[in-house]
Amino acid sequence: MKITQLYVDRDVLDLPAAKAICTRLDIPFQIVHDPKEVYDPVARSESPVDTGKATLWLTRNKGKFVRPCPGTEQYTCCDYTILHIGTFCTMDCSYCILQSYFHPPVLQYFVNHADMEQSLDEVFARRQLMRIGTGEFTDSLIWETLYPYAASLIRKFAGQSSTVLELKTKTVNIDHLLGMAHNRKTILSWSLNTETIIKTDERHTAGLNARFKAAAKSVAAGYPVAFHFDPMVIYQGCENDYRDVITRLFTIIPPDRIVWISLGTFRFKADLKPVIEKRFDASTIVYGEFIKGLDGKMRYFKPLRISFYRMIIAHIRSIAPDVMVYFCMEDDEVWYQSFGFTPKEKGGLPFMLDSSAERHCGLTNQELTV
Amino acid sequence: MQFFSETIELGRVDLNDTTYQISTQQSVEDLIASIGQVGLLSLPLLRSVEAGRYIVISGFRRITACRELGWDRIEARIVEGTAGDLECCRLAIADNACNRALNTIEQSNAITKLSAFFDDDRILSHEAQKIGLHVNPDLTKKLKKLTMVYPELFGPIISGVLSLTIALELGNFDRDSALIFLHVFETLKPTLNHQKEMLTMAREIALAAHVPILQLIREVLGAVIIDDPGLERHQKIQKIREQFQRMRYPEMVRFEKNFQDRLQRLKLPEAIRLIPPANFESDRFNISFTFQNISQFLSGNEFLGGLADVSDFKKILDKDIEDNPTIC
Repeated sequence: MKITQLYVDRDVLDLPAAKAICTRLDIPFQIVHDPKEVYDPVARSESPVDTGKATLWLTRNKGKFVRPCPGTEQYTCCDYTILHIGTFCTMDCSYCILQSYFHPPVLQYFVNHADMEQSLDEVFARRQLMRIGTGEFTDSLIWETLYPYAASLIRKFAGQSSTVLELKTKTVNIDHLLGMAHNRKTILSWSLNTETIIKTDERHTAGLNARFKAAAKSVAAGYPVAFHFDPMVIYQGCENDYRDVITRLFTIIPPDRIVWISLGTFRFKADLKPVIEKRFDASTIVYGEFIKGLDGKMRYFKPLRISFYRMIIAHIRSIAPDVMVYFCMEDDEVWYQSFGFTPKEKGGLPFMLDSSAERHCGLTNQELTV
Repeated sequence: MQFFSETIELGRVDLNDTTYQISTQQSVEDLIASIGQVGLLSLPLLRSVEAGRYIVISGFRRITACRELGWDRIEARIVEGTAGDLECCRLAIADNACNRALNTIEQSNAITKLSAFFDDDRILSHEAQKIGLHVNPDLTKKLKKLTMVYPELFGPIISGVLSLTIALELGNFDRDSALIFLHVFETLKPTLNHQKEMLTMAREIALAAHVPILQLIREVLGAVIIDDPGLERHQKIQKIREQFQRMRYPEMVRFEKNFQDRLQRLKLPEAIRLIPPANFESDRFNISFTFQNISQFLSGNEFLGGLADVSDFKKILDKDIEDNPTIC
């Protein structure tokens, strides 16, 4: 989507990222003295989500750059760590929680990169195995065409050995990253879905083939890669569609280059339903057989989830028996019924993922010898 | 604003111009009797639009009654020529709202007329309140939408058979479907929650299956004879709800039925109850065991011990999905 409204905080005007983005966008910008100057027009607009997607605010992250992923007690969390580079997204997915997560939603890009790098130095100094990603509150690579900062992050992570960076995206903005010395400390990962869902529910995202091609180029450039089937949507014909995506994935990407594949069926807070109904005419994803989960979010009826996961896992295992597959936010019962074991039996989900990162990315909590 | 009283010829009043009409009531028999007996106590309010022609701001029924009585002339209050459209609209609403409680359609008429002058619903509701129409911004928005619903729904709305919320929901359906639901609601009088449930399910099933809603409703209601004298009203409502539920949540309904069948086969004593987790989401089942003495305790205990070997019990705990072989 096109940025039509640009705001810049007064105190970041001279920062390199702010200067570069203003020059590149080449549209008039408004200097911000008070956040209300940004939020109020968006909140008052007829469709705050659409307005928010066209409104970019270059600002400073005044909170923590590095923070734990908000999980819930009721379902098994992977202990992921978020690198908070910005908020919201220029792409437009019906199921995106960010539509109702921020009040109102605005594209924020945090330009105080020196502070972010200092936070990362502190993390690296701990020499603790960690998985850090930028794709929780935004897509990791949407701003690369405006300001290719991912390269700096990749360079920074390449210089240490205990932490891996995951850049999660639905774009294909990776060509400028292919020649870099990444030292396998960056995982390039893609969210995948069926052609049907991409067509009806993922506006302005790269097509499935394009994502596969970008992943293949990343593998050729030596990057570890990962894939996220999340959210998976249960609809008429979905079994064949997801099997097809999985088959195509493994014809292009060697399983041993995949650090992990996550699975998660569609879940949503109840207040997202009217947003989806209003904004996505062709989408029927909210009309599945949902119940209120233990965390208050709507989830598919558990026996349905288990049935579906069993089918997906069986298909993955038939092609790639050793690839690390895990659930995002499911409980022991679903794990056991679908995989035949619970994470606890394997040392816990964080340990399972750390181990896979160790193997694929050469992670160690020892000091890097240069 | 200035008014002056004037005796005018009734033939000069244009009753076809309903620019300011708020009232939905058409019948004038009560007024004919009253005016015939004691005369015209409250003078109609008119606006002079051109030389010798008037339109009605307030008092449509009074003027009609006077004509029915065969009067040629009446005394009326005339708004002075400088009054604007907004002022006249305010007068029409205030004169109606301050003399009686307006029904929902009349409120909608009033708000819709006033909305021609105010875009923002908050300002509109504030302006309405100043002239005796007690509506908040949320209700204001709904009342504006009410003008879009099918005219056949107006009567049931006024009589209270249809709530404003349900009427607006029906306004989103095609006309035939809306009228079928209206018939069901008028005939069976389900609770507001049940009405909402039926409409939501019908809409969502139709959208998910990409079938016309009318086709779906006929399918559901075809299985439940609305006018079947052999069924009580609440039984018909229950059958309709079950039919919608089977279509909206087929796997959940099937799973619940399998659970109930298995529960039956366990033949639990009256003192023992097996309570599954809500929506079968948690992995925690509960057993409630009531006893009054040692003998009952031992007997119940023995029964519970034996459950571990019963296949139906194991399948319940496993939330066995074998009964749900296909999901897509």
